[in-house]
Amino acid sequence: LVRGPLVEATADSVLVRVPNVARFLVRAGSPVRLERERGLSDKEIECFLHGPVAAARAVLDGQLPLRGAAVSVREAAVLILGHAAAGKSTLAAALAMRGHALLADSLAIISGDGDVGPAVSPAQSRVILWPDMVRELGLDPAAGEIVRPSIPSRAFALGPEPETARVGAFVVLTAERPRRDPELSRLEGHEKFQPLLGLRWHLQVVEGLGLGSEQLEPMARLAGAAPFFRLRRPSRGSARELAELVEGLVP
Amino acid sequence: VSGKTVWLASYPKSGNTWFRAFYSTWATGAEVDLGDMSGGIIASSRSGFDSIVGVPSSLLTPEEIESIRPRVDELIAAEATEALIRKIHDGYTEGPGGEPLVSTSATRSAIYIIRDPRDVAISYAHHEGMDVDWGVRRLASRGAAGRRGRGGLSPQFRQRLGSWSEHVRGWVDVTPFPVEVLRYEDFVSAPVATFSRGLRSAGLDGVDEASVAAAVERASFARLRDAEARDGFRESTGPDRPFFRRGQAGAWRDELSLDQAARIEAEHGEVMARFGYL
Repeated sequence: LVRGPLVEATADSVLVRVPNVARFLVRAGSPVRLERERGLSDKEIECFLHGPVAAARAVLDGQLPLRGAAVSVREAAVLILGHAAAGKSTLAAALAMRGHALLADSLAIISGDGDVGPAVSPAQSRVILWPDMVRELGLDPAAGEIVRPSIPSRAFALGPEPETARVGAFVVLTAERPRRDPELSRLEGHEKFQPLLGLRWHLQVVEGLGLGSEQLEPMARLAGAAPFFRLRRPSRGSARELAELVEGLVP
Repeated sequence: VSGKTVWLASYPKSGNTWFRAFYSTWATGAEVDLGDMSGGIIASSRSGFDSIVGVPSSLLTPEEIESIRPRVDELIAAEATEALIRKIHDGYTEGPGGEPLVSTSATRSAIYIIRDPRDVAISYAHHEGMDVDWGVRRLASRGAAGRRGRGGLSPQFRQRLGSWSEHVRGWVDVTPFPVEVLRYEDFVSAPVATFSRGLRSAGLDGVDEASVAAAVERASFARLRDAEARDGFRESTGPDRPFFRRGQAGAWRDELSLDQAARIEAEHGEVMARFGYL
């Protein structure tokens, strides 16, 4: 029903094919079936299992997987949403280095509505950083684990052990129209809905399988569950400053 | 596959954004909004790729990304209902498997914007915060990729520019689809006629002198510079480096040394002569 370059889907299954790495078949309610290229270790497929494959499972399970990081600040989950290369992982790492628990690096899955409302459970225990951000954050490059031997990013375990946290705030991080200093502004009404619509995982699959309308209600609940902020970051050198701003968003 | 893509191709700092701003205000009739211009995503967009492919490009190698890019072009073109103008700075070159970096089956045609390389060298160096000698060397750098990444994750993939001459020859001589070549200098001296040629080559309807002249006025360089100063522009590389700087043709006469001009002419003389720059 849906055929993309690396992801194909039918009504009840998603196939993620990463050439030279593995094929991952995800079916609702079943373990992931995996065919890996000869000689590849578990470590080398982990980034795919915990990213696009886990996101595919969430879609099939009727959850709402968002492209973003999440950090627990004073027991509230702060979701850091944004497009690729917006700086989400760097900000999450900076917050973790200030003592906040990392819930997710690239895939934030919103779990159901219990007594506390929408919540984020720990999904990714490490944050993947590129060499320039490792330097900016003052981390020891040797402490990072290889993600794939052919790419220069490294995975770091940072911050305390996480626990499921209710959604406390959304931060839409953007590097567009960079200014000298960070700019924080509150989003209201449809401005809150736009990032949720555009930053869902596997949009091609969601739209292709007609699941878009099923995600509208949870998105509407989320939009009303916590305040939304747009954080416009300067072009470089601001992770610590941004982390302080984000800490201030949770009472 | 739908051949709806019209590539708006150029070497960096050659007038590509100016054309997009013009096209945008011509198509909408509204004032130029640098944050929301018409047309499809740039060919090297990381976020566009990630959203369509479903596997983050940050987990893929540059070669893996380049082998998938033509499929992304095809999915984008399949969604288009009419000609879709998309910006590209990559040269017309091959990806790792020998397939062109852009999908030819998703392509209708291209508009290629060329600018005097002596002006490009200055503008490109300024854009990157480098000195003019860097610009001169950069234009001569054969097979080179754009300065993206620098040890980090950039919003755009590496752009396979090649040298300035390689870039021109690739888009003008090698492409298997129609290409309309427009000179930056003609946008400056005869904007209505030159922008009209571009629109007509893309097969767009409603290209009349009055609408083009009004759009030319709304997308004048002075207005674009004012809009950037007021609202900012994502393609600026720093607060002290405005994207829209001088917008002149022939400014190299004030800003290049004789030696720098001579080096550009020695490297690119053949292509420069062909397009009336020597």
